[in-house]
Amino acid sequence: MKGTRVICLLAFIITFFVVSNLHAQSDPWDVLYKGAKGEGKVILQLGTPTEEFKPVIDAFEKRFSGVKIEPLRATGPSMISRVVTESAAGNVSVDVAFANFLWVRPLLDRDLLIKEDWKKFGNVDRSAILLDGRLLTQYGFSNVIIYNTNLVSPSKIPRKWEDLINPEWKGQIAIPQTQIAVSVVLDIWDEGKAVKYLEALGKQNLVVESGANMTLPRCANGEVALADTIMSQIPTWKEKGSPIEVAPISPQWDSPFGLYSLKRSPHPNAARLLMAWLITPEGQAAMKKTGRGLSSPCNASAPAQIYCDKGIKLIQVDNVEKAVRQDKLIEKARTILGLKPPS
Amino acid sequence: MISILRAGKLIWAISIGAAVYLVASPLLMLLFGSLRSTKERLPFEATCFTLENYIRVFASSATYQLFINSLWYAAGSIALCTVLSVTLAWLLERTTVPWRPLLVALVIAPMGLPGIVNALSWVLLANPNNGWINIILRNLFGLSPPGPLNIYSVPGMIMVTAVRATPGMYLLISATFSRLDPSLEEASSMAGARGWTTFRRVTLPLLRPGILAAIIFYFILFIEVFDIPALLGLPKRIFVLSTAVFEAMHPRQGLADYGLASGYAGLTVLVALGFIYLYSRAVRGQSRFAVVTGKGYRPRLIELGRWRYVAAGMVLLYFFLAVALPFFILVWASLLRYYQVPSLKGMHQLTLGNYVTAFTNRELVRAALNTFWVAVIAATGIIFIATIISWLSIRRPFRGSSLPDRFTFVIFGVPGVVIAMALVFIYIPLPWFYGSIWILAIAMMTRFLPYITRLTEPALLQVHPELEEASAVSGVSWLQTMGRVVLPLIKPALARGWLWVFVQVLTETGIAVMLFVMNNDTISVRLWIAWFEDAMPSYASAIAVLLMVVSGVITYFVARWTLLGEKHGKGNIA
Repeated sequence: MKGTRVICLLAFIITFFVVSNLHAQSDPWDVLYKGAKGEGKVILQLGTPTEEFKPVIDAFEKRFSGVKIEPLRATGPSMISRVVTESAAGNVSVDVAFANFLWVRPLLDRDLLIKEDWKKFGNVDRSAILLDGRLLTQYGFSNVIIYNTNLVSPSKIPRKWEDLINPEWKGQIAIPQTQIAVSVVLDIWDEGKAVKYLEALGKQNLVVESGANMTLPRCANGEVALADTIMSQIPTWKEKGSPIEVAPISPQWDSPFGLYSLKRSPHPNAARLLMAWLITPEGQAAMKKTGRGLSSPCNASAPAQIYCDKGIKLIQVDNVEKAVRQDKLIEKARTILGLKPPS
Repeated sequence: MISILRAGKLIWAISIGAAVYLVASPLLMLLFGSLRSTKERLPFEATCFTLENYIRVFASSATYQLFINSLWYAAGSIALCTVLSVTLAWLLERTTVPWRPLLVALVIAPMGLPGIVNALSWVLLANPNNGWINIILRNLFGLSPPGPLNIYSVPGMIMVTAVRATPGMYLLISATFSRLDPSLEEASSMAGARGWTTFRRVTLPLLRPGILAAIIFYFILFIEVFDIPALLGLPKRIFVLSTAVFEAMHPRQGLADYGLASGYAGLTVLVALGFIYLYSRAVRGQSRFAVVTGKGYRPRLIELGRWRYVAAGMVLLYFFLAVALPFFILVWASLLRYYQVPSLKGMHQLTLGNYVTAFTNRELVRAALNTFWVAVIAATGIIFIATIISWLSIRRPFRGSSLPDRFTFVIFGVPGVVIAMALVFIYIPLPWFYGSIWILAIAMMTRFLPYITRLTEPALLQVHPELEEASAVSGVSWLQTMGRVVLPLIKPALARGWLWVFVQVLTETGIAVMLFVMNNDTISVRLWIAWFEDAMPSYASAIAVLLMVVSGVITYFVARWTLLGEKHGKGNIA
């Protein structure tokens, strides 16, 4: 009798350990984490200063000890040509990178992106999963018109698109070559009116920058009074005390900005671990601390709150078809404004 | 054991092989890319050869407008740069201008500045809306904005480019000035010719090979320079060839248009070939320019009398425009959290935060070390190869020995960013090479080799062959003759060349940005990222200030050691 009890107890203990081990092995997070630890790091492309992503880096490394995030500084568009070239040579230098629908198209055409069933990880935001698991939304990449509060009095603040062609703004508007906010008029107005407007804007002696992130400093330093820029950097610059404010010009483009990884990335497990974590509530909270987040609803992020406060409506570009249409409108605006390089 | 005789021939073979490989490999890849890639396909993705890219380039009227813009920009820059550098070289090498060592160091100091640093400082100084100089002029003369100065213009680009390039050109032609035998000028004076006549009919013809060499290769440099036209031309959509290439390689989305970039590069190669021909005609008859012969001479200086302090003032004015003013505005910008025009109000917001960030930034320290090693490797390698192939070209010990030197010219007109693109395609399958500082060193050597041969050739032209013949007749080998006779005589030119390459590597931005992968960043890459990608002009200004200080100090000490080590001004004064 006593021997039977001992045997039963031993069987129970053995069964307990076997079952719990089996459970551990089947947990996708654990499997991935184990693989990532073996790799030791994940190389993440960043198009902005590394310090801005410190909340994400610190939170990830604390959560997954033994896996470091190594930032790689490069802009999103330049990354595309680079990863296509590197993939063809079998020598990819990045694990995870950021892109929107349009930037990622050459990679889709060449079937270079990993495709993962992210839902199996549980506790992930399923609405962030796009393109059949190839792109995971992180934050909104949205436009805005800003003004320098030292150069623009409250009575002169532009409140609608038409205000930008006032003669007093001649030589005082900085505009990017990429992601031009003003191209939205081609979507909301009839073509005749929009073309006439853009032609008038093109005669405003615009100061042209290569990217939307560069127009903001020109406005902040007082070189120009107005700038067409992107929203994500506004909170950081305002924190520095720079004299910029968002003009309530509406509507504005908003498109999701997401993460992708490549089939030949050097640390595939770590790449998947990072991407999966960033669409969990914990990862999204860390991303919010960088000042980034979705552009709506109002409480989604600091930029979203600004849009609500200013009453700015957003035109969502949330699928490939809309992104292609937006791209055509931006190209048309570039042509009318005289921004295209010679060719 | 290799005999001394064979060692010499081995050195010839290595130098020729290295020169040909450095030039041929990117050229062949460039040609391949121009015939294979299309707007949406990389060279090795496309399935057939095509002339589409050349048709796009040569059949487009936009190309010719680009070409004319580039020529005007280059011509204006070279004209202003030549006036400045010849004046400075004459004052500092041939006259009794006071404080010469200090003034030489001040003239050369700006060499270490990347063009992007000059350009962004002049944006802050002379942009038509809130440039500091414009604000001062408006307050002084009651003018209204914008202007009166507008740095976003071709004259603005020319001014910044010429002022920036003057030290380099000075360095190249000052060796020629310092080696001139003044007895020829004395003979002219004794025959009754006035100073200007002597300068025009005796001095200038003797200096012609050196000055022409400098003009030609700086003209080509200005055709392909990128950073200054990018910062000062693009905001007003003023395109030149280099910025058109950059736009093709960095589209706002999609793949880089390598085919178009290669097509534009083909156009600049044709221009370079034209200039090679002109240069060859200009320097025919080498012995006419030999001024260092077996006969002895002592350099003599021209007495300026009471004009010597005016002359010193002119040099100091150049330094003020080239260095002091840009330095001040960058220091000001670097001490602010966000830039604002210099004012008393702004003084209350000064902070050292950007410098704290810079000094604690591991990436910046790594970039500094990378920059140093790339510069040392490239400068040393280039001087070695250039000296040998120039000697082979001038002395012609065997048939076809001038071909390697002529061949290096072909890469002359190829923009640095296109060279870098070609090297990416060549070395990307080699993970230990791609993304390392070695690919940077190779790219820099490819880029600057043809420039240095334009320096070593005139230097060797000035050494009469009779000196080497005398050595050979005495039974000394070629290697020993080079080491004991030729190299000591051309040491000033070699030192200048080494220094020139060193600082060009410090400041080269296009190649470094193109080849940057992860850990092979240079200082100019970090500056580029801070300004263009992070949009942090104040932090970028802090990096620029540190770079100015470090490069200025390095240039000052190297200049003292190499250029001012020769005894000067100790002979009789004319």
